[in-house]
Amino acid sequence: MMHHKDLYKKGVDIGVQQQLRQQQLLNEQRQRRLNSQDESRHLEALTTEPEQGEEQQ
Amino acid sequence: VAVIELPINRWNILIQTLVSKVVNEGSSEMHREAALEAIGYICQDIRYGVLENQSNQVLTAIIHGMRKLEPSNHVRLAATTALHNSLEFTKANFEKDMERNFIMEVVCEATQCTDTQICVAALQCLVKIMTLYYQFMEPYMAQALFPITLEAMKSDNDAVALQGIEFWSNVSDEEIDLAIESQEATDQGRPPHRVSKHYARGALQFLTPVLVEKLTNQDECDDEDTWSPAKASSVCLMLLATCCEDEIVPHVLPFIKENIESPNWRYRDAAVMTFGSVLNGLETNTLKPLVEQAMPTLIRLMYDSSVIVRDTTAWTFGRICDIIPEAAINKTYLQTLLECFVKSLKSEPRVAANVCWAFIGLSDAAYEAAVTNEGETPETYALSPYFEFIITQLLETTDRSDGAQANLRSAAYEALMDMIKNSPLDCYLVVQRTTIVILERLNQVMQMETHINNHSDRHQFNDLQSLLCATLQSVLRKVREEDAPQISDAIMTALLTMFNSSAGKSGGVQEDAFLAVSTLVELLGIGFAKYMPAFKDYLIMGLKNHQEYQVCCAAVGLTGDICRALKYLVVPYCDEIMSVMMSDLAEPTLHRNVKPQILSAFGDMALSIGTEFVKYLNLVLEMLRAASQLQVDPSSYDMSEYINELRESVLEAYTGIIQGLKGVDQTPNEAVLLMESHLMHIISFIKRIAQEGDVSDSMMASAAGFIGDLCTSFGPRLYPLLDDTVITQFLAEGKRSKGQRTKMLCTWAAKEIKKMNSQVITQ
Repeated sequence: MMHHKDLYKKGVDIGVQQQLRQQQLLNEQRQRRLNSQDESRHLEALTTEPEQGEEQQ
Repeated sequence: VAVIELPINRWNILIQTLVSKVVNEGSSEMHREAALEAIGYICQDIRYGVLENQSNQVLTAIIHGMRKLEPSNHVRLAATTALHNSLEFTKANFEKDMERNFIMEVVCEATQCTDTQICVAALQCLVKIMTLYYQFMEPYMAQALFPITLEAMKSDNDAVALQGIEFWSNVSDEEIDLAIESQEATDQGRPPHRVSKHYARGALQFLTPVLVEKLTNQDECDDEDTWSPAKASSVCLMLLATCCEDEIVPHVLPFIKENIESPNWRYRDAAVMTFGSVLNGLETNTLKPLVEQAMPTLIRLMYDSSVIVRDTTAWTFGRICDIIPEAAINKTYLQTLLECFVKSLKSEPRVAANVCWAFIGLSDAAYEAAVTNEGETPETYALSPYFEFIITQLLETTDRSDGAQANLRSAAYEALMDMIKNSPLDCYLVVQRTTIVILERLNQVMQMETHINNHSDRHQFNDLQSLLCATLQSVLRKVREEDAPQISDAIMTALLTMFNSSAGKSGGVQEDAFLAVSTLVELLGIGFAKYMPAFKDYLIMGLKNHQEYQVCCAAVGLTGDICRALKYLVVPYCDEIMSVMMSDLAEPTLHRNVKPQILSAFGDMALSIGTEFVKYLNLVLEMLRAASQLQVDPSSYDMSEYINELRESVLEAYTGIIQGLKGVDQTPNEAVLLMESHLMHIISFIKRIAQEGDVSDSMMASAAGFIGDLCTSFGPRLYPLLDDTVITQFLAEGKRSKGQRTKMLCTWAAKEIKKMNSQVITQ
């Protein structure tokens, strides 16, 4: 029943820290993939060109 | 046997027989006790729901055994233990006033028993009842539960006191959850399903004096595994502070002020522990001045004669740097504090490990405060003047001969990695030097391998290599592109030697090493090509590691990185890589989490090698078709999350393939037409995603991006397939997304469809 034992004087949790670091790397890996896919789409024009509908509004 | 037979409707007379053994007047003490013990064991292990229909009978026997009139303490104890195990499935009895009153009366009576074991068991029942049936406890709280548990907390018997404290930790826990539920309900504009009765708030003034008093009874030889009322009190204060927030301050502050400089170390320690425990609950406006005021005293206590006081103070600093770092990164104290931290890195391992934790909080906060443009490394930050010294001291700490104690070595490496990760531009020279130090260490460590004598040494040795790889990866992330070629040969030589050694066969080491290589690939780009002949075999080894799926996952991710970096230069390795990844997909023992990553890596390869991918095309498209047809089982959250991940990977793979085959020119390469026979299926897959709803933002972006790619690759002849309200509505919804990328890709895809429409009309 003493399930609060884990909370006592808990400093940095090495295991969690490692997992977070690895997860961050995997996320970055995915981000690089998405970036390279976006690169070949020539999306730059979109950031400056408003859509027709938007223009009318 | 009962746990196996009862769920399949066999041995139906068992419960009745055991109940009779308890309630029959003629039953001997031994029979009553044995029957109740059996009931207790069955209740403990049986699946929820199986005994629901017999809960009345079970409860009758238990309550009969717990009565004050029961002459045998053995029987009462067995009955109380059985009640504890049966509480989950007696919900129906707790819902009826009469029955609940009776159960509560018997349990409360048992808490007053002179036999400590029965008293503890009964208190354990109260702790569990409070969690399970909080909403029914109001009539009993003031009259019975509060006085019983407060007395229990005060008890000199540790087992009894622990249950009393645990009761209030549970009440706080429950009320913290209820506060969250209530906030959620308010946000959604509805009344909450359950409400807090604020018992913790009401009891605060009575509980805190007992808790702080218990804190002064610390164990002198702190053993990590021993749970004591002093430790339980610290946790209870932490939970009470979270639950009652600022209201706790007037109840604890006088004790802290009176005792923080007491000549008795127990009182000094209890005062610091109280302060450290309540930090998390207080509002910033209350907390910051309190911490600032306490700073000089706390710094002094870091040099206390008692190691216990120093440890608690270091832990408190860890909490301060985690919860309210702005009070520590304060011009008045920063330098003194850092001097004190650095000195304490040489203190006992438990103290030093807490200081490492404090450095993590400090570096995160200092960096965050210095960032002005999201994603841009700041020029300088508050720790810049001390950065080199701190890094040197942390490196020394990782080398301490007692670093295995209290996780000190790992904590010091974690602090080092965090400091490097959060370093501004003006600390770059130190980052460069650290890269060299880590590299040297990696080489030295590998030479030590021959001296390993036993299992424990091997374990420590592997951990150290993992930590070094992780640190290497963190420094490499900061190294500038132009500096990379000067160090890459040495790094790759070290990593290749490591892969070749026996430590390199350990999963943990391999995983961190692959991640370090990934960072190097990202840094070197096409320059990594020269290492491929030597590295390829290790990559294949990782891709074939079915037992340690995290290693396989890291190898797959690295494969994607290598493809993106090397472009056409990866072609000579593709046959072998593809063959291994195809086998991985067909391997039933490989953890399912690796499979979506493999599909995404197909996309990376296709995008990189363009038409060279044609020879794998049919096989890969068949794999993607199969993966895209897997259906969601709505009852399983895990499964539906997995299917979504798989679908996103399928979209990423299709995207990579179509972009790779189409090429970069305005006029699509003819190779893209090889996908034509799959288009019907692909578009119905996208429509299925759109129709099933509950689409994540990233999935929406992937789908929209892919729709746009289809348009630019196939032109107007795809219009009849894409001119569909499902797709139009899906993209319209995406355009309203808060995610910038999703919004942009949905706008782009909608525009491309519109463009096709005008082309169709012109034709």
